[in-house]
Amino acid sequence: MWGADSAANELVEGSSVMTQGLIDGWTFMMRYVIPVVVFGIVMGYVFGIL
Amino acid sequence: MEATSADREQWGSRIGFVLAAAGSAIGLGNIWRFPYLAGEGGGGAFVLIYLLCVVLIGMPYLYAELSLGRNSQRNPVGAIKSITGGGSAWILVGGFCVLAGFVILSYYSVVAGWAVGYAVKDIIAPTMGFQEFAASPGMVIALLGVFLLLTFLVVVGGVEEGIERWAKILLPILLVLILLIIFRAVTLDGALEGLTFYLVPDFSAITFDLVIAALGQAFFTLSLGMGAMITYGSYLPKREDIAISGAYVVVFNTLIALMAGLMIFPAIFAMGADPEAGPALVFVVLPKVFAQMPLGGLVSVLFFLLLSIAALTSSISLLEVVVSYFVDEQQWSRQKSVWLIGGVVFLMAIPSALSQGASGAFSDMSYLFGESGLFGQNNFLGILDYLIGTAGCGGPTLPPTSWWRGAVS
Repeated sequence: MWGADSAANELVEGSSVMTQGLIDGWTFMMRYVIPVVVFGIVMGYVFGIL
Repeated sequence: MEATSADREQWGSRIGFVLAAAGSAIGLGNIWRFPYLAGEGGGGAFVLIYLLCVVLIGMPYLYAELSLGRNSQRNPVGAIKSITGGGSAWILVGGFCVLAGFVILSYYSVVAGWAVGYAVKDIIAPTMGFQEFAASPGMVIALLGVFLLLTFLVVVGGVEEGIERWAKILLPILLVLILLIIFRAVTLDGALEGLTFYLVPDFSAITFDLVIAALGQAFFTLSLGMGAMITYGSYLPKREDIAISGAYVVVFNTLIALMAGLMIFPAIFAMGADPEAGPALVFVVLPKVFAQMPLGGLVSVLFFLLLSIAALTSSISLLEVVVSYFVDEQQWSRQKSVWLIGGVVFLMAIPSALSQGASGAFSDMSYLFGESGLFGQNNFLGILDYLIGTAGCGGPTLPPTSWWRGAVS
């Protein structure tokens, strides 16, 4: 299944040495933080908090 | 037979992609909503939280969409089909992106048409107030048609010769217009008060709601969650550094939003208008502010011209999402896709254009939804905006949810 690792691999292609050092951080955000935030926003709307 | 990746158009240069993607992200909302939220939310304190949200949430999300697009070389539906192998319910997500682009364009272009009209208002309707202007059927439909035609002419040119070429022309013009208006605004007597309101951090104004607003602004301001960046990413060559290009898009988008505040607040404070007029600011309050200031007529024309350009660069990406779907998945030619889809969008936009007083049937739909309306909305445009902006897949990306609504109520 295509996921954060695949996105990270795609990010590495064409990237410079400088950005390669940051890709792990962005991959972490893609894998853990964004799903939590999106889920939180959806639930926020569902339960009328947002 | 589906078009192969080898046939796919590509951006001709990094700067072309960055300007096109930034143009997609910079919309009507950047010019009004960001400075408004910043002014209301403690100025620099809000900007700081917004920047954190952009870096921590917005950028990784942007990278995810761009990566997905470049990896699949497809539109949002095709991209999800390619990574799931087809037959997955996730394809619906891509389908919603295409549908959202289509529906949003139908009413966004109405509001953009108003901006076009206000840029030439001294010629076409010098004495009209906003209510009368928005309720003039011939005028709003003609302006809608002009705006959509401009959008179609850019998109029909293709990725490099149409979207990229025009982004390289329009974005620098947008930047120059903003700088001109900032210069006029900050040189007005009393401008300093506006700058203080906008820029001096006031951490006591930070509330939970404001953090959510900053997160929302960061999340949606980059045209995320509606397929535009998947589509634009699909035209990126493999040699392109997505991280660097994406960072440029974020920086440019944020810079324009910050500059918008520098042009709006000094003028509002100098002219004694209410900085928290919010939604009514653009079409009601600002024209009054411009009318009072020296060289105000010229500033008004420049402001609504830049608003029109900002709207145009966003509508281009909305249409491109839909067009890329029909080109990739239905094997239509770009010309056929643009003119056929464009024609349908225009027809769909007419009820929205007539819904601000020009037609009773679309302006007050209580005969269908009762006095309380559907989601509290009783006109066609308001209902569509609520459905897409608040409840739907597009998110409050474009006119961040109903920012214009107060202007017409």
